[in-house]
Amino acid sequence: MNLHEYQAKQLLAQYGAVIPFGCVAVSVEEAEAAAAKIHGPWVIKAQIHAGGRGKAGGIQIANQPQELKSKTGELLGKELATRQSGGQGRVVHKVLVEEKISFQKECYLALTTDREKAVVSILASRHGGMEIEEMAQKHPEDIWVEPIDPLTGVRSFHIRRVAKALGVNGKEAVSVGTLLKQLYGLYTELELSILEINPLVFGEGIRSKEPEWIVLDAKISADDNALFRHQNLEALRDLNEEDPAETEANRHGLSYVRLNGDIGCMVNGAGLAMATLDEIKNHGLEPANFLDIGGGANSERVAKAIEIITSDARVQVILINIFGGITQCDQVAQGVIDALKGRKRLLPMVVRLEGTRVEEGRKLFQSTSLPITPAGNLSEAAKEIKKHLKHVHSYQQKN
Amino acid sequence: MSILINKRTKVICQGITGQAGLFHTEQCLKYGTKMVGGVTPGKGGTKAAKLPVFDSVEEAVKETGATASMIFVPAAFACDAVLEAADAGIELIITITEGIPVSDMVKVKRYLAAKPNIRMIGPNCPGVITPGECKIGIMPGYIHKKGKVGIISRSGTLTYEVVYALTRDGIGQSTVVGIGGDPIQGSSFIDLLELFEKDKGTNVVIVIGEIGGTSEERAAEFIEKKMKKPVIAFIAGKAAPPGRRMGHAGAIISGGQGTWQGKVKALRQAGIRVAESTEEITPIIGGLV
Repeated sequence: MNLHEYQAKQLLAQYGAVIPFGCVAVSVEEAEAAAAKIHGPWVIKAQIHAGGRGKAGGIQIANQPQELKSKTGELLGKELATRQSGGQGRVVHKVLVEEKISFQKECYLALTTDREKAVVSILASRHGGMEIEEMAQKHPEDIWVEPIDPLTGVRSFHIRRVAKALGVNGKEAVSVGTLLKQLYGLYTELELSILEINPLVFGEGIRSKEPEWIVLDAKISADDNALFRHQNLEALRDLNEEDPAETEANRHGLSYVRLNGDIGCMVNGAGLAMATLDEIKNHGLEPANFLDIGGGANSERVAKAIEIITSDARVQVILINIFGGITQCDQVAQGVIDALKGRKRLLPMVVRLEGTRVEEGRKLFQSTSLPITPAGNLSEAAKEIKKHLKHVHSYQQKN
Repeated sequence: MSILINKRTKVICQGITGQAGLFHTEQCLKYGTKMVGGVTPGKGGTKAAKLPVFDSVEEAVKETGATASMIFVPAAFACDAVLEAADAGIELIITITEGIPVSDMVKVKRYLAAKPNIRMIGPNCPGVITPGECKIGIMPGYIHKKGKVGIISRSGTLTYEVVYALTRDGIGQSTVVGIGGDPIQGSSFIDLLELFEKDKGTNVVIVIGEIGGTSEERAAEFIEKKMKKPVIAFIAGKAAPPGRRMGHAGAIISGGQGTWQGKVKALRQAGIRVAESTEEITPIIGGLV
């Protein structure tokens, strides 16, 4: 689960990190009220779950109250498509109004769980402000990775190495140490999967007159599997940022991801579902979604899956690919039949069934009048789908 | 011959009194697995699937001599179950449970690092099967056939699909191992490739990977440097968009890492044949065994 920048900053502040003074606003009036409490000039930042906001115009600077008013008005309700928002725009529902910070130095600091080493690692670079992918291309030698043994936590030798990577020493290095311990505490206590501060700047003091490390932008992603232990994090979930179909699917034990095509897919198992999308794409077809009904799905769960797929207006043909292990083919067939009972508009379905109770499943399908074309494998299924699509005027054959 | 398990392996089930634990213990017994007992704290002294239930793994090991455990304990308690099994000296811990917090796996891995004789498979995996001898997990036994092909996979149903196609064409398997779809796994591709390379009963190995992480890339390096047996790979997730979790917790392209293209390139550069479709795998293997 991803958090908004303002939520991430509030958590960081709770653990002792320094953040700019700011308020979140959902209307122009609220933004004006916030600005009245904060020294100008102000930074207005769109709060959406996607990086690359700056380049997409999601971060604005206002010098005068009038400018703040107009720029906030422009941002709120705007659909912002950034490099990371997956082609689709995200509607801005909230902005963060902050004091503008001047600084001498900007760095990159992040914590993430290293999958191969199975530990939390600190990533540090003296080049802040650009995305990590870009940095990995431009300055790969300047990205320092410091794995932290869970037994020891952050120790002075880790801190010295990270400080060196950031190119700082003396007092700056000491305060990097304090910050690292705060970040590691936040990361491990709340069981995060990403905590990224980019940029982390060394600039004019907020708490004292001395310059200090300030978190200018922050990104937090929490481990979904650990949320049951962190209700405070779960409370920060913003449903505006999630696809309603995905949320609905999750509630029913289904795993759904919206894609850009017109073939609705229902598969059992994540790996098989991915392979199914790959295979139909190899045949020049575009999947509308990834949908894994999970292991041992009963007819109710299958019916829900069909409902979700058929409620997507883009879908022209449905592909069902089931390899029954603990999932039983007749349960799948029954679920499909139940979901479509009494419907007037039926989409053509291409069905490939194999495995546990396959004969029973096939018989169930044969006994209905649903528009089902059976297929022995995915190449065959792709051919059948194309035949159906030929009837759809708007479809442009990709092959 | 086989790896990890055979007809002599004595197995207990942690979480045997739960719905899934009980059902699959019965299925394993039917397949011929030497299931010798189960563990559910508080239910010691009772029976499940006609097997004795113990309060602790330690007691179960003492009474039954089990060396392997199949874990069905719910995600919130699964970390404790794995640690308990390791503490009691279980040599092979197969964790089927899905949804274990990543930070729990960090602790488990740190603990197991000091116990080199203990091997963990999973979590979030279908388990391990040596056809005709022993099945520990949730895979349908009947699709397998005894033979010479070793399989290591991050996915369940995708593996069944491949196994089924092989069996249908008369090609059997030595051992099939699901290492699981989570970001941190008890055993990696490399750990198992090492075992298959040494196993006299395995002639060829299929690696079934997917997007996310870099374990396939590291496996490619290992295969190039250390393996003599042929390895065929298939990677799922070519069509997956970056930044989206595709069902499995570990199946996500992040920070430009873990892409299908990157994995296939690494494997091919190491001289490994990569099938672009699951339908290609069986004919390739057929030419090798």
